[in-house]
Amino acid sequence: MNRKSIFASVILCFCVACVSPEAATQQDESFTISLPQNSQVVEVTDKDVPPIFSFLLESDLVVIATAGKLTAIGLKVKRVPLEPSDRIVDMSDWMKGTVNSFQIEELLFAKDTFLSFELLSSKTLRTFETFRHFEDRKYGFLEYHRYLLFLKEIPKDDEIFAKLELDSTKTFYRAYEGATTIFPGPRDPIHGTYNVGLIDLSTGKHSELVDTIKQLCEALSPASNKERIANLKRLIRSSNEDLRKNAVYAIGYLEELERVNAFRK
Amino acid sequence: MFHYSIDDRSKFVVCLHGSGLRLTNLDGSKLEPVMTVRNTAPGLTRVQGRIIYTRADGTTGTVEIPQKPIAAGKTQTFSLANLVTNLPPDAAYGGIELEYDTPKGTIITSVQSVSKDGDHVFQVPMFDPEKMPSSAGGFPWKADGDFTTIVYIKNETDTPRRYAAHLLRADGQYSLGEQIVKPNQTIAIDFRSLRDSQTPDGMGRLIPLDAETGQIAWSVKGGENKVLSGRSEQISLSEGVASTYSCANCCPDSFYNANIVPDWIELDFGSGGFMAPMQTDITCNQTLLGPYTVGGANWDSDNVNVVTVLGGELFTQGVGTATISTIWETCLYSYFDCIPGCEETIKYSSVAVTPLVEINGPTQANDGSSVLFSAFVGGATPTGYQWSFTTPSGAGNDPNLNFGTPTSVSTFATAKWFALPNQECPPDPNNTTAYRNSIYTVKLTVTFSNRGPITKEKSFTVNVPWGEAGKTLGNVSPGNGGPEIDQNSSGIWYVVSLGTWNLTTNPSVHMNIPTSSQFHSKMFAHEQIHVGQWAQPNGLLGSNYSNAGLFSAIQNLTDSSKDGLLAKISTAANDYLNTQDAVVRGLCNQAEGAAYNSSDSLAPQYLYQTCGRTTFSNCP
Repeated sequence: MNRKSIFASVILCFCVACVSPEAATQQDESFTISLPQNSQVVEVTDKDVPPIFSFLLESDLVVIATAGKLTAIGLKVKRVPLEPSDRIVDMSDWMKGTVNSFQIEELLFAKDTFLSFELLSSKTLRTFETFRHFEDRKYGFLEYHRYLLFLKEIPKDDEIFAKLELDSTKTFYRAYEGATTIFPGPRDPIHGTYNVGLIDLSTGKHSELVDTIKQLCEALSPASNKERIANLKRLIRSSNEDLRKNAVYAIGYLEELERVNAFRK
Repeated sequence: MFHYSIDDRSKFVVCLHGSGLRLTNLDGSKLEPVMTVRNTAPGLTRVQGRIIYTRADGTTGTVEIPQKPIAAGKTQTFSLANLVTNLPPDAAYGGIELEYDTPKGTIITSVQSVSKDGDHVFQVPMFDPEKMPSSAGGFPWKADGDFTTIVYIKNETDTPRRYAAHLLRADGQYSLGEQIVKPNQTIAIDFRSLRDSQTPDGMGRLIPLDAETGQIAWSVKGGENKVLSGRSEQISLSEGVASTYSCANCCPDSFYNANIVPDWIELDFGSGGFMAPMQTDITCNQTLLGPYTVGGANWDSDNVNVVTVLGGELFTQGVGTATISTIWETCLYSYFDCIPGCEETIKYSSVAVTPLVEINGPTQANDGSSVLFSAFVGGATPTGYQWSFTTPSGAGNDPNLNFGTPTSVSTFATAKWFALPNQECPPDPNNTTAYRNSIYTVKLTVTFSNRGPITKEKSFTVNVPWGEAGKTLGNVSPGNGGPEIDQNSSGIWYVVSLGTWNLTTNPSVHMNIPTSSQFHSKMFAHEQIHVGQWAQPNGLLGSNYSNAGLFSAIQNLTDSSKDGLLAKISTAANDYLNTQDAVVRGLCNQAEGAAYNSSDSLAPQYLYQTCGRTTFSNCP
């Protein structure tokens, strides 16, 4: 009696569903990864996504950039004084938000090239603009300061384009605010944590965090997933614990991404 | 030499049986039974019979094998494939019984199950059931690699029979207990499958996943020998092996000892329980088998007002005690002649039914919450209640649940967080979950007039869930309106004054922690320090925003149009506020340190403390 047996072992750690091709969005304790070219979405459940990698996945761009001129933005239709004799104006309609132009010094990460397996360097973005509501005083930009920024694109259908003096043909970004923080250290039990993806490099603080982010981004910058994983495996040997944790998680994520890509082909 | 006439063949004689006729292969594909018959009689013989197959649910079905004439001295092979083509898909195995009408011993048969490609052949040994050895035996069990050992037990009679099967290993036994095999049914036992599925036996024992070898023992039960046949089959596809093994013991297994498990049980009124008779047997080779659970025992309770019993399941009826008796048949076989002697074995156990006492109430609550605990007593009338609590050794912050009515059937309590360990800061600042959860043991003692008190316990966790106790916002704003502007004689618009603008802070406190929590007043006081810091003109934070500063930012702005000037004022004012915001963010750690420095001394001095920090995670 002789027989050959072939055992097909398939381990599915993700589920495939047809939804609109959204960028990675955090939903409680799971991630949704989607590929821009089609409608396949992978869900990877993980309770402990390291904060930096989480911020990367949630952001559209990560850059080091210098803030340029600030411009105040008001309502499209302002209730300015009608009478020429009025000398005291109501400025509230003129002060609804601010736009800052930025000059990119270093593009660290772009989600579209990351998910479509393109070289980061193929992206030629040199400048961008941010928008911030006047009431949002959690963060702001000072002219000529250098920042490391996690940026989220403001959707074209955001109501600000209808109401404010913003050019709807242009793309504006805002600093990404995470569910947690990228900054190290224990949480403040009274006030929580600072969760804005913004580091003012001119303060000289958080240099180790900046270095960690840059190393992680650099490892993810090649087009080849294999090369990315090889880079991350090198980072696992780092003495930087944050870097190790993020690299380990990123490897698992990329392996899933690769499976989805293979499935798509 | 036999002498007979054709007229003597008035009836067929049951002569040859085979158990474990495989109808499907290991992969579920159909197998074809093939029967080869040699007629050694001097005349024509006729062979007929039946295949008795077993479905997955244990039921059986029969397919008749039509009469086959075989001439004297001839050997013929018959395919029985057409007989099994339409069997139910779950009929995986069965038994085969052949009859012939020439004298005993004149027919030699061989039965096999063959795969369609001819690669797999499973032999079915045939034997004369009248010359069957004792209905007990043992086989080696091999389950390493892809080896599977199947035991086939076939009932050779038209009456239901009982049997027990065991797997013996050096480090323990696994017993299927007493089972029933239906008339003419073939049972297949696969201990490897029971190992892989980690199916517990009647005693709750498992076959370890790494177990690969052992000894299988089986025996008929019920005091009647030579009614069951058994054999084993070892199969390995990778090794190309399908071997059969049969070894009969001198006698069926004898009763060795028995008991009821548990032999004493205490039940709450209203609850139920189970008892099971356990029996250990001994083989004629003096090997102990079991204990295993016995089936078919009769049960009785001597006090049905306390507990009734049905098939070993206990149903409480009232408070008190009762004796449960269990009776079943056990048999001993004499060592010399294998003659059985059977009698009824009776075993006793005790049941005590106590009043049911339950604590109803939440399992957890936030610090400061008011919760209700209530007692439920069934089966007896209580004379008193006493609520109390305990905490782990070393708990600090004066643990207390402040029972409102500690001697009543129900009581309100106030959830108060306690510190464990008793230190002001969490042992692990990055994982404060355990420190934030205080686990009380709530105790209820109920007293009765006619029996001793009963005490029940319930775990109750008091949580401090507020990761952010509160925050204070500066709410910096120049207010409504705007600066005063004018146009000079050249038509240039310029700034005259701040007009109606008045740059103020209007700090607001947002507390997440509720007023009922012991930490609220402490944290509110902390936020009040921040409120003071936002005060103008001298507060640490508020002092950074001034009308003078704002006016300085806009006073020199001019434009040829009014709208142009307003746009410039707007941008300059935002720029000024941004700059001052940045200064204030730079003072965040200092402001926090000062606020903690004040609130740290306030009770309770736990959890919401500075804990040695000079930088705070809410400060960028």
